[in-house]
Amino acid sequence: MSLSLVLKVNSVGDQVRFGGKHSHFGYCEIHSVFNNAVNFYIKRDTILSLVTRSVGGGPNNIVIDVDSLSFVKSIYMDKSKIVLNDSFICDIESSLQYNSDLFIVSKDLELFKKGLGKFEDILRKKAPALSAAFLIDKRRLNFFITPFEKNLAYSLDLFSNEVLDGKLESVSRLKGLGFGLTPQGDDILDGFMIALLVYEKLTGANTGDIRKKIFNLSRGSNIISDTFLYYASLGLLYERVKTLVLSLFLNDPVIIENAVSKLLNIGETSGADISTGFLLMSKKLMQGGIKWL
Amino acid sequence: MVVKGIIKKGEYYDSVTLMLVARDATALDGVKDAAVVMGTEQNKSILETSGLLLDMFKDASDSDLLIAVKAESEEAANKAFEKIEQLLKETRSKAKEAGEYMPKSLEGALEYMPDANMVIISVAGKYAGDEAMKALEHGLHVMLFSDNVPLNKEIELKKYARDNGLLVMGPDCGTAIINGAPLCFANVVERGNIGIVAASGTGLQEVSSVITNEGAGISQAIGTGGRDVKKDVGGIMFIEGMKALEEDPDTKYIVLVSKPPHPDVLKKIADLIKSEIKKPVVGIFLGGDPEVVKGAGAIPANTLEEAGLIAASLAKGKSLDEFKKLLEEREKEILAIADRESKNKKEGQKYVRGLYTGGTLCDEAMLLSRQIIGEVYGNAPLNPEYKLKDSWISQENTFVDLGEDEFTVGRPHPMIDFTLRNKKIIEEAKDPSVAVILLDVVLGYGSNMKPGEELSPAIKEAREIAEKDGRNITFVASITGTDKDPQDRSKVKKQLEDVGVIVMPSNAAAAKLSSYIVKNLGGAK
Repeated sequence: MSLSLVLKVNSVGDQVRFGGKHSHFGYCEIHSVFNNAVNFYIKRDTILSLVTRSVGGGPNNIVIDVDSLSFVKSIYMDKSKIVLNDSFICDIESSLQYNSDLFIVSKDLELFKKGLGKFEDILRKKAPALSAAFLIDKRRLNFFITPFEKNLAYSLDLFSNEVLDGKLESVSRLKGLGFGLTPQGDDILDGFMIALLVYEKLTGANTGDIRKKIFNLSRGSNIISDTFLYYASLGLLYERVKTLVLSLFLNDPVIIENAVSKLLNIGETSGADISTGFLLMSKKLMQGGIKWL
Repeated sequence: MVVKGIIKKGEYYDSVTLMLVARDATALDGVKDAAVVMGTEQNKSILETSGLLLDMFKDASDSDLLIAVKAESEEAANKAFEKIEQLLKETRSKAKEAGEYMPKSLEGALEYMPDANMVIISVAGKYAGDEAMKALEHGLHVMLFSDNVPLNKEIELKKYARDNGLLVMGPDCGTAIINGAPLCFANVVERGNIGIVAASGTGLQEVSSVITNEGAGISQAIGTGGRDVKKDVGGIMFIEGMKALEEDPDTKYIVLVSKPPHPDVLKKIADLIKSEIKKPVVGIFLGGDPEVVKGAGAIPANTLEEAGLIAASLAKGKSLDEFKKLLEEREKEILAIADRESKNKKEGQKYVRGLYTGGTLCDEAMLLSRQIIGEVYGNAPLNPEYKLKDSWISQENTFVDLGEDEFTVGRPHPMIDFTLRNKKIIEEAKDPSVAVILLDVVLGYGSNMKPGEELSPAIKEAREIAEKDGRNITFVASITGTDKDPQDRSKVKKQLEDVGVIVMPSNAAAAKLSSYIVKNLGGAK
């Protein structure tokens, strides 16, 4: 092995336990490679993600200081380092730890509601055409054209509303619905759980059990999606989601807009789908609390 | 009906790629529906509802990619699979190429191409300004395709460029032709001695295409971005562009294209024409006062086409009376066609629906139509009182710019993807009050490569819908482009005429014809 270059690691997620839970020595199996992220297995049941700066921190993310990761063809790791393509050493030991817990200082529900209003306006304007944002703006159904797309939109609408109305068994019907590696239904559920977490932080109501229930009902064989949902059920958030949530309490439209824009950059529609789920559930909770659950 | 499927293991794509691939397959002849989705139980249930579920899919897992096609014949289904395979392969190879060959930074690009003197920047607006400044500091001219660049950043960049003898085209500059090279959305035009400075993308395309179609050619076409001529930026690059063309030995005539600049900027332009510009100048400031241009010693034009015709006449050494004669003849022809088309309408048919992909073309059409039929509704109307309550629902005479953010966010521009406009064409045809549907078709690099093939089925379907109801709708179109464009203007014209579209020589002529038909039918305000 010829080692020639050291890549800076900006942060390692707080759920990544080198030498502990995530002990692994040798080459890792790569699950999928995108421009901004490489997902890889540690043993068969755990996924870690190498991500670029633009994606940012997350409970299981290792943020590498590069613009693109599409060059990655092999990943080798031991307890102190990751080596890409047998050439690039990612220096883990000197990196910072990303804290995925959510701390909300303000308990001002009115401020939060106001922030949600602004968030909704931006989402209506900026969400990608083929995202789940049609759930908050029905005119966007015009973007769904083929018979399959129309049936998909109908089912997303039906099942997400059933979950919002307290019919938790519909979680398993929403999970897996849609295109891509994390289908729209999964991302909506992710958004629902994030909203429940924020509500818990604001009001003190316990939503942990409901989140756990949602996760258990949604578990499938899509390891990437399950990982996202698992962390949401534990109340552990990715950096871009956390930034958005915190921005809603700052009463500054520019900060909110920047945070939404960053979140919308996740995947092609994932950011918008998570946002839609978060907004719908937050509005529901603001209207009637968690009595429906 | 045939339903066929394939399962692919271990292949992952983003959601929009999968949706667009399926949509492209659905658009093929004989294909009724197609889906490319991960094999989750829930997706299988949607496949079942859509009549696309096959036995072979039942054991597929969440991480399998399912491809299903419903078609009229085995052959059509196979063609759809070929198309899907090809598109997915292209996606993979694009990603591979991007990984292996594309430089990741400006410095990397300059190492790869040290002689480059210009950079095109297309990154998210908030980062684009810094990248542009970096490029300027390296002594490079900049074409800034990105929009949403903060205003103060634009001013900073343009001042720096001006002080260092460089150009910043943009932000939000979609078109330019530099030393014969079409950049971003641009047409393949003849090289010649006419230089253009434009604060309007499709305006530049229309004028440069008219010039080429008239047998003259372009030396340089400099885009500035629409915000340049507003008060805050003060026309910094519009002025620098004019000076650059004045100094350019290959440029003999200068054409200025813009929506009305701020009065202060217009004064600066007029002062420059009077003091420094020795070459003949033609000016089209859509909706502005032509007297200001005239007062500065430039030749004013009333339409984009007229600007192109005047410049071409000058370049070819022809008398300006010739183009005036041509336009007078054209006017008579328009009135005759309008009379003919007004006679085959059912009672109640009296409105025009303009479905535009080019913003400036839409503005020009609204300006000309206003003179004939009064105010028109739109999503970006001339008169704010005529803004549509819902941009998706037309009323009376309506001109919609489908390139506005509300229609384009997260999807390709309508000059590339005709899906939305085709849908609107069919919707408008269902409205018994519609007499005319007016379209622009913009050719060139970056635009839809098969406009004739993609528009024709929607126009045919719209006609059938109207005919079933005893109505006849007149379709009027203009084509911005040249025969040298990859789409070939003449070929596209024939394809549209084959489905009964009246193709006019310019956007202005198309807008006038549509408006005269409406006027004859009593649809004017």
